[in-house]
Amino acid sequence: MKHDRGNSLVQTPWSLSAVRKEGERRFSELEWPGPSDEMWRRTDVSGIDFESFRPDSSAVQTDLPERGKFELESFYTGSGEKNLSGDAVSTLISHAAESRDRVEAFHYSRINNGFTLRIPSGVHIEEPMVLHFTGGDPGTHEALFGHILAEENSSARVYIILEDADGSETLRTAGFHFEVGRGSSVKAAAIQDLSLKSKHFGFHSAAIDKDGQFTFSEIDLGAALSVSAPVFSTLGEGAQVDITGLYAAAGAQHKNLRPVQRHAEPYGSSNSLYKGALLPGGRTIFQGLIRVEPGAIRTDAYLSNKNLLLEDGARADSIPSLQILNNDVRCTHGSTTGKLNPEQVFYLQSRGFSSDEAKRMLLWSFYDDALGKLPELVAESVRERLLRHPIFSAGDG
Amino acid sequence: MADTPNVGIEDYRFGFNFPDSSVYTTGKGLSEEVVRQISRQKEEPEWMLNYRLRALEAFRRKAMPNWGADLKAINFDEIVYYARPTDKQSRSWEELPESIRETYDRIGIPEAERKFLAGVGAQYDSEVVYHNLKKELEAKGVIFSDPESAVREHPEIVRKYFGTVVPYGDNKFAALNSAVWSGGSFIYVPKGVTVDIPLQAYFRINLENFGQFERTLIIADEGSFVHYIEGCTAPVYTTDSLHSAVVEIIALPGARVRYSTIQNWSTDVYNLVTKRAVAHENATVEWVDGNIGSKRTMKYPSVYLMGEGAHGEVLSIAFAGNGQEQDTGGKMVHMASNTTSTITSKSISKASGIASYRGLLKVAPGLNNVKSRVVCDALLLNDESATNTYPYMEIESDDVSIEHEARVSRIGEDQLFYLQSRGFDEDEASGLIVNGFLDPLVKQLPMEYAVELNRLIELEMEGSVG
Repeated sequence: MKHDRGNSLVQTPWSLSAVRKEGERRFSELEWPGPSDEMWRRTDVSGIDFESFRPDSSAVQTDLPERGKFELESFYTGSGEKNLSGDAVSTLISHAAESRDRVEAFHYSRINNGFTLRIPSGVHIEEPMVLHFTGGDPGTHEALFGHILAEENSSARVYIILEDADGSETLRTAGFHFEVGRGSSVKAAAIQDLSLKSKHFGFHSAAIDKDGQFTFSEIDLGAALSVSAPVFSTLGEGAQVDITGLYAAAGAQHKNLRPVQRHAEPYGSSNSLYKGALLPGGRTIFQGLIRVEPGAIRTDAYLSNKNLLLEDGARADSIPSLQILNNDVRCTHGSTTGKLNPEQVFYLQSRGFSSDEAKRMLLWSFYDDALGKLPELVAESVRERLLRHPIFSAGDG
Repeated sequence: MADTPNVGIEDYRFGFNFPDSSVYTTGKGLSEEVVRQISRQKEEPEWMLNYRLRALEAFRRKAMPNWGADLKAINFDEIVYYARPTDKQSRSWEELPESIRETYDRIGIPEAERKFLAGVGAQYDSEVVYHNLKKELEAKGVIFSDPESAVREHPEIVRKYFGTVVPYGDNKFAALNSAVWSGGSFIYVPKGVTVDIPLQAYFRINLENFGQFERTLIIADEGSFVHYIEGCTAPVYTTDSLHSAVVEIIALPGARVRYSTIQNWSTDVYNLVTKRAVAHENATVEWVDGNIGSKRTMKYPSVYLMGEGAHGEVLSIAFAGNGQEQDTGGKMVHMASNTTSTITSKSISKASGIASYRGLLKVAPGLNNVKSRVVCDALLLNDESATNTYPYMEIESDDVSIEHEARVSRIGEDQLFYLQSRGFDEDEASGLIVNGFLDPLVKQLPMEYAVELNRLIELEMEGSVG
């Protein structure tokens, strides 16, 4: 890490080992998930020997504007035992203690890379901060955490990219935890673009306080197996969450995306749109959930999932669920699954485009509204990455 | 529905029962001997006994569902699995024992009879005691009987279809039913025959701690049509009873079967039912499923669309009152090209009631032109009411058009205000809004049932807003 440490933000002299210890404790309480666990029924992880991946990590590459206005601290295998801030420690330990399954507990028990970012109260950072994790050597496991704290009335944009070397097989577990303070606004993106052999497990979370705004883009393109279970909680009145998910699956790719929009306080709103296209062999499972707690009146929540099956031989499961525990709410969800409209393909062909070109154009138009919701910088990067993805580059597209 | 005086809202409308006059019961608990006794009582052929015994094995092997409603309070050892109320099958109303007749009078069966509804196969405890099949149906070759008679008289049809739609090992409760089934209906409609009046049967539990395990098998031969109506009411008991039915429908090419249920078990009954239909080429199966009573219901009527041109429909209405959990929905499994299906679910949760929609939409690989639409609307009446939606969609073909929508809302203040400004009080106004909410489904029911459902909802709605 090359950037300077700002003023010391360390309040409690705790290191990551406290988090790992809590993860180990939770790990010992749980069994590896099997087909009888509802959330894992469609994703078989019994063949994965998690512990065979050697822990390894490398320093983060950053592109940071307006240095000095925020505090960023990074922790990786080579950075030695450093202390975390009290806020980060309590967040990470509570997530470790509440791990929903053994895979998540395993993640916390092996945390070996990550960062803490604090945007002080009243500070607004216009330019995006980009953090780029390139991972360790083939055959290794990087367990990555992020703690992003936006204090009252602040704003920031944070984009996190996960990659590894083409053709290498790694295990990557990651949990980015956003805390959005009163009246703050955070725009964030997590881009998963690992090698098509790697395995990815995500446990992101966001807690949005009163009148806070959180915009999150979850881009899931790479990895042979990717499971992502983010939880977005509105914890104060008037908190707003806007989520865009964009994914693609081809070849033997398997994706299990299960975002939770959780409303714990009144007058919150959340909106999510997940869009994915599939080629033969691809398998996606979308299990989004809107949960409204008893006291969270006047909640307005929307959840939408759209799948495009480009050819026969792919499978898209869609399970957009609702759990509504009070009556003063407006919650809706929708889901559609279909193929490219043959009339549209024909029309484009009649205008001189080849069948491939026509299909590609229609595929772009499918992703268009999701791409349109992404911040410009992210959208640009995602377009380039999509072009490299088999969904655009393989076969007759 | 006759007027029943002196019944409070929280009281069950049909909360009365008569002394148990069953002639024979197997006693509490389940064992191989109990299954053999049931089979012996029914003078069954060997193959049915063997089927029951295999099912018992499956029941012991199968785990309780680890999802859905809370079933922890079911104690399988406390349940009576078989009781026989009268010794011979009655053919006319007058021949029925007095106490049974009086119970039926209160539900209104003679009224239904007067209304020229078709054969009434009324079930008192687990035996069909009253069975009156209209002559013209017999003349058309329609068989409408209890399944025990069918096993004896039409083994060639029963053996061919029994357990083919819901195999005994399908789930724990289907296995239980397959082992101890008793009563129900058997319907065979010959080729090209249209049964223009709905066939119906009333079911009634009338023995404390007694589980009712009826078994219904409907076969609609090529190009035929039948509408079957199942309705149930049960007396209130202090301990929980279990109702675990299996319904199998086979709609052969070009046939259409409609199955309507209004389930109104008293609020201490566990209602765990497996209902499944197979629709062959160009066949249509429609489930109209209303769930108002019971403590816990888990029921997902399903249609397996096996032939091209098949169409499936589920219309589901659930009302979850205080302490009730309605875990209902529908399943559509598309196994052939050019098939269509719709599931429409409307649920209402009142007080601490929980209404859950749980459904499956599955499209097998390599199919063309499959269309399906699933719509779920939930209405929450009180701030402690809850609703869940779990629509499973598993799509393995690309040439499909799948749509799903769900909405959760409460009674709109502007709607209430408008009706109140027109002189309705709050209860009446919310009752009207709820009836309007259910209207698209209620319209699908035969008139007597629509009237009955509207009355039941009105009754449930009294005092619900405040």
